[in-house]
Amino acid sequence: MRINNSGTYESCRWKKQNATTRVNFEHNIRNQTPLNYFQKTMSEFRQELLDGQTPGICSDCYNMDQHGKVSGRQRQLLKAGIQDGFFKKTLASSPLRADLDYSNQNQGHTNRTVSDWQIDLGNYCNSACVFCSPESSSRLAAEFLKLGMIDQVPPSSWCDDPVLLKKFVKDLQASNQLHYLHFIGGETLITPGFEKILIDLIDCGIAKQITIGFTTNLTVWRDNIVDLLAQFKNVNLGISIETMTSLNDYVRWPSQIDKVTNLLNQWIETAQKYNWLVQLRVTPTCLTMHELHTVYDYAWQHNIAVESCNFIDRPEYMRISVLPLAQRTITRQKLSNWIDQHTTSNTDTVVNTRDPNRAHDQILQDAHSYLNYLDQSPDESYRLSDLVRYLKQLDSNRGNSILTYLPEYETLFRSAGY
Amino acid sequence: MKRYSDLLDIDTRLNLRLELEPIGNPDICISVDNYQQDYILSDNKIIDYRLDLLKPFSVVIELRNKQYNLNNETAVIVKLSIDDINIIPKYDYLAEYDNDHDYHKPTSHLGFNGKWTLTFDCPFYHWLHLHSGQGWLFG
Repeated sequence: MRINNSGTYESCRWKKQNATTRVNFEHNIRNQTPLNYFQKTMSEFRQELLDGQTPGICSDCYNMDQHGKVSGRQRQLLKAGIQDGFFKKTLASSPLRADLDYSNQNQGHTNRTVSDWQIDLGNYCNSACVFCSPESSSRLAAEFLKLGMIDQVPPSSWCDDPVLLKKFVKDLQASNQLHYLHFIGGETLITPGFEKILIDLIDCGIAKQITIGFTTNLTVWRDNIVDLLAQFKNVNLGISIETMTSLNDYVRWPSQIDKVTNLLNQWIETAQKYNWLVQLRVTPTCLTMHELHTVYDYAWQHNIAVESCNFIDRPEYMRISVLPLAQRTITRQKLSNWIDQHTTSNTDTVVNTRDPNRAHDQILQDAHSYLNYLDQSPDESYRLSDLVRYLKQLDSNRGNSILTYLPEYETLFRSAGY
Repeated sequence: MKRYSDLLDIDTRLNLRLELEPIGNPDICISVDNYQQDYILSDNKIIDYRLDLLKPFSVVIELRNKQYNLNNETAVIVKLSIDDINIIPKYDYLAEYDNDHDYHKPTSHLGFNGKWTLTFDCPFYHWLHLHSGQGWLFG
């Protein structure tokens, strides 16, 4: 289950985002408890799935399945012991079988409590990544406002309200099946709500039963947060990076690759010290796809998995499929060459992408999914002019130029109006 | 997509296949769940079992009456699959080997008098989930 920036509950962290569903006052922490939403309000959605329907909000996962990319659907099923390769028998023997049977006989209702949360903490962020949105970056929000691209910055997060935060932690404490909390920013390390929730969970004595997941942007370090995290059962650490080159500075503006690399190494050493699970988190776009292999290289050398949540969908002009055929062919060749130079003995699908014993298999699997996407996704190069218009706006404000970082795309971008 | 109830309309038994390759003529006793059989093997033998999907069980293979001074090479090599999933030799490190030579390294080559036991102490697919690195399970 998810609580988004507005305090609205959502049934799944992988749910396709739709602006009209982002704020729902009825399904909000201000108006109902997480338990009520989970057990009762979600019944209708749960029943749809039990009836074999394919809800539209699941379409991102179906898209990933189609291109051989491990989807949220597969990951969440795996936590219930259900694997696509042995679907019926693993369903029949799932540890959730009795709960599923109960829901099936009771219009989707459940007596379970939430085990697995995604907690959106708001948009506090010191970065303004070019593919990000005001809802996820306060810095980008301020820039968009200045450039007239939005009328107002997003409202403050639910977790800025100490009363709501206290209420939420109290509900977590009462949830006897709680296992995993995944935090999303902004930049979690500088978000006050993140530290506050960690402290409260430690103080109420349940930290040792909980695994914490979060992602950091490699621009900040907080010793106090590391000390807090070390008191939990485990940590799933996500580290955001797009390329190991200066192009990362442009895309994840205003980061600097030298500092980013130093912090990356520091996080990996820390994770090794505490036995945390690490993943490099990438958001490949049409700007970075051709250098994605540099991240794969680093990850391969350090035996770390690489993962993106999905194929980027918004903003539309950042999609990989915006690359015209010539650039797509070059990008494909680079990726294909990288794949050809790296082999493993396993060919089965890695669904638990955090398994450190399968990092190489997982990296190759991820690379293959992007190769498949480059081969099969429809041509959306007609969005190139939108991309260039957007980049020009940002570049003029930042005193920057995409051409400094991507000189090989100069002719392309010039032809599209740069 | 199928309805939940349709997805559960299946034969909920496991297909366990035990493949035994003898070296010499090993005298063995096999116990799988409630089945027990004795053999003096001379040729490769394949034995199929149908087991309950949800019930824990063990596979026990005992080599006996081997006379080390007469037939030192005598042994049986075990392969085990369940629903066509390779279990032995892949997971041989999970088996216990209690034998008269105090040999405890992971193996599927049973050359000493004693019992080799692989225990599935929970429903098979939970066991597989745990031992194949699939991460945590909702409890």
